Amino acid sequence: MTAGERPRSPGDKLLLAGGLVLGALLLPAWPGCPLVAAVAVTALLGPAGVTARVLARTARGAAAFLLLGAVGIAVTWRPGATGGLGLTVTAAGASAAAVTTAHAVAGFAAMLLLAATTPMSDLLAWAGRRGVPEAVVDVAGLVYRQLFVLLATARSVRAAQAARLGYADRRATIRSAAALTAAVLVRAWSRARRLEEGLAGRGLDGPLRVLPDARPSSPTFVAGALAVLGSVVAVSLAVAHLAPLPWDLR
Amino acid sequence: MTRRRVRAAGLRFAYAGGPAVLAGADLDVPPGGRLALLGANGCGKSTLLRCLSGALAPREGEVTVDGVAVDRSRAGLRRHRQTVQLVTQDPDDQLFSASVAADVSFGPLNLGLPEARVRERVEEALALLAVAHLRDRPTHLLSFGERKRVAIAGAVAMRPSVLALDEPTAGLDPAAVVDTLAALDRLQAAGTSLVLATHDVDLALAWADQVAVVVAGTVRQGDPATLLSDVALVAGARLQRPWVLAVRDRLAALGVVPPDAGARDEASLLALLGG
Repeated sequence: MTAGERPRSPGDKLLLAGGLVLGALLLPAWPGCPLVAAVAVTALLGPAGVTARVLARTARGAAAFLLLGAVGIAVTWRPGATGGLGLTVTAAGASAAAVTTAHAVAGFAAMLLLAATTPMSDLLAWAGRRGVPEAVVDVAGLVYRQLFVLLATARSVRAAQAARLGYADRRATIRSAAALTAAVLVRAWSRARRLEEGLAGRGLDGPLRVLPDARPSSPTFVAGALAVLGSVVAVSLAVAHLAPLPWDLR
Repeated sequence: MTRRRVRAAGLRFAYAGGPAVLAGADLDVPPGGRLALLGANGCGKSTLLRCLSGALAPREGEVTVDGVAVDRSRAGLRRHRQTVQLVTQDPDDQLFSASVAADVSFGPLNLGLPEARVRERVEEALALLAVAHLRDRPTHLLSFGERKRVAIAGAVAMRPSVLALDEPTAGLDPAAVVDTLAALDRLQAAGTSLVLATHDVDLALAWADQVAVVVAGTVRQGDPATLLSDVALVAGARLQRPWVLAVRDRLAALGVVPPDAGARDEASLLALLGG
């Protein structure tokens, strides 16, 4: 999470990022998706203050997943058709893989823009003010918070197991992983009970009410975001119509 | 801050299926004072604090505030929690919100205060605990010491008359211990009575106006130097004698200081030696 864009209203950031996600899903793969990705990455590296190194590291996991998915789409298996393994890459397959990858990369970049600039607590508070049921917001907030606590627990338990050769071989690994899961589950239950008592001590009486940190919407930012989104849509549709790629990239 | 006298009398408690943890424990929290609750691990310090705060209902005995027994109805406990707040040993048992300021605001909002008053209390609590610079920080990004102080701030924002803390200095580095104790000093200066459960006898001797030693499910309460000089009591509670008292007694035996010389910490001991 960068501090650069923290003071901005979550709604404003959702407008820009959400608009880019929609663009990634609905605009033509060419040139819509590269445009969406370019806007998102520019915003990330610019106003959001994310470094290229951090961006690359974050994108690594998604890139591996996307690559696997693209290969799965591009490659067709026709046993006996061409001899050998029957694996072929057809033009249709390659086109589908390219289109899917383009949409996925653009969508990922847009989501990353939101994730890197907007803490979950801000998003949940914003959602609560916009009518999302209190219970949903409370549960989401608690799960988000406890996720980090349990992750820390899981890391500690795993480190303790590894220090005692718990992952030295396959059999030990399976045993240790099972024990780790059980330990984290038991601790999650125990922690939930203790948290309930802790919150009861501070007067918990139903909903988890906290002070909202309302940040006013910026008309300038909203206008700018709409202008950017509008431009992306207009250019994408115009270029797709006037200068489509030679091969079919819907 | 209204100073109230909180007392526990004849408390008996056992967890389901387990042996008795408290067997007739009495405790008297001096209004505006500092009480250290000492005892070995598992002796019942936390249980006693939880009974004081209303989190647990004792099987026998009662907790009173200004002589009136705590009403364990929903409304009664709600009132009691404005008098006695407990900060647990593990801050993650109390921090639930994704940001510091939001978490601290939870208690005052539950008191039904208007938003403006809640904001005042949040800022006041953050300032008292010297964590105002962390107000917008997600709680999962705080260090252990910072989470402890934020957990204390969450309780302080309720403006309790009595603040009970379960091992607030456990797991903290020396600088963090100093910061935490300084924050507690500020709270006491503002009129809050403090009950601090610990098994650090040196801290108890230096810090507390009174100590209460939990042993065999009962409590002996009194002057820190007197109680912690009681060899049998200290041994029975599986504690150690404070080093200051041991050195003072040795110096007294050597005739360097008078036998009844008072010393509670390094500074006072050095003062006896003319340092």
